[in-house]
Amino acid sequence: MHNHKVINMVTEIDNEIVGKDISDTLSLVGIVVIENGENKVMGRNHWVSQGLETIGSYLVGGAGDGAANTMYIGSDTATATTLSMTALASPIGTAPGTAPNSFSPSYSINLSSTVPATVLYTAVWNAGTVSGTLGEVGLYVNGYTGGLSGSTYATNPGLGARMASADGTFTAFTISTTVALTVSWFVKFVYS
Amino acid sequence: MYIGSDTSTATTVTMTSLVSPIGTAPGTGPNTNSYSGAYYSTSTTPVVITYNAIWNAGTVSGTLGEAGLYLSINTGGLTNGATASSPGLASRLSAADGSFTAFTINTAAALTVTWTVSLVYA
Repeated sequence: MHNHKVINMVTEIDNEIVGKDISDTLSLVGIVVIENGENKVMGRNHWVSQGLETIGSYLVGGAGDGAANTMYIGSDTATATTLSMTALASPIGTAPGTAPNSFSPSYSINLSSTVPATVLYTAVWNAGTVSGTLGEVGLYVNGYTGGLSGSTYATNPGLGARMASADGTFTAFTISTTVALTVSWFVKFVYS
Repeated sequence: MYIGSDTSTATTVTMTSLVSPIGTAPGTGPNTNSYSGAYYSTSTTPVVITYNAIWNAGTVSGTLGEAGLYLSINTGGLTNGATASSPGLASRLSAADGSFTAFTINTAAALTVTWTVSLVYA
């Protein structure tokens, strides 16, 4: 139980399963070097619950912790995701997009499991509120304006992760305006 | 960051402090404490955060068997509650885990701990 991975997985768009995406998997690796005169040692750390929960809480988001997390959708089917992206390529609705009618992050934690924490975001757009091609989905999370050195929360959440048909992770489709559109986005912490 | 002398207790995920801190709990704080972060957008290791702690010569002594990275933690866990008034144990390096070999601190020299946390694409 040295590394800790964060995995994005998106399933169940609309009433049909359009694909599963386990695209980016990030490992959280801690290496420690201790030096004291002739003594020099190095080793890998072990994460404990307080650390995991605090990291996970950033993903859950909530009141009093900057702008609330949310999700937007877009119609782009040609633009592959890049690390420097800060918004969807072609949001549906006025940028950053039409917000879902409901959005709820939830989490589960089982510290004795190899998957000790799971965050589930569920966004629902009511029937008829969005239309067109669904080609991309963005998870927008709260964050600092200064990046790694920041200490001030941004006014609005920013793009934290994207699922795009242009990446080959799912097949774009035309939104049925007679039914609700539901996106369930899982982020998992996995020991490896 | 704090250090401790325990050499027999393996890390468990529910630990909230070092087992045998050196100094009064949570331990003797380092004389200098700093961190830095770097972002490399084109790397497979896009984010690297480095914590540096230095205890001046003679300020700590005994066996060094464990080290703890203490971070600002949420009291509400994943529910994103209020930040705790004191930092809490987020990660531990322990000789009991086989991660390193414990040693007796040389009190004539400074003790430096460099803790690097990296996000790595798998």
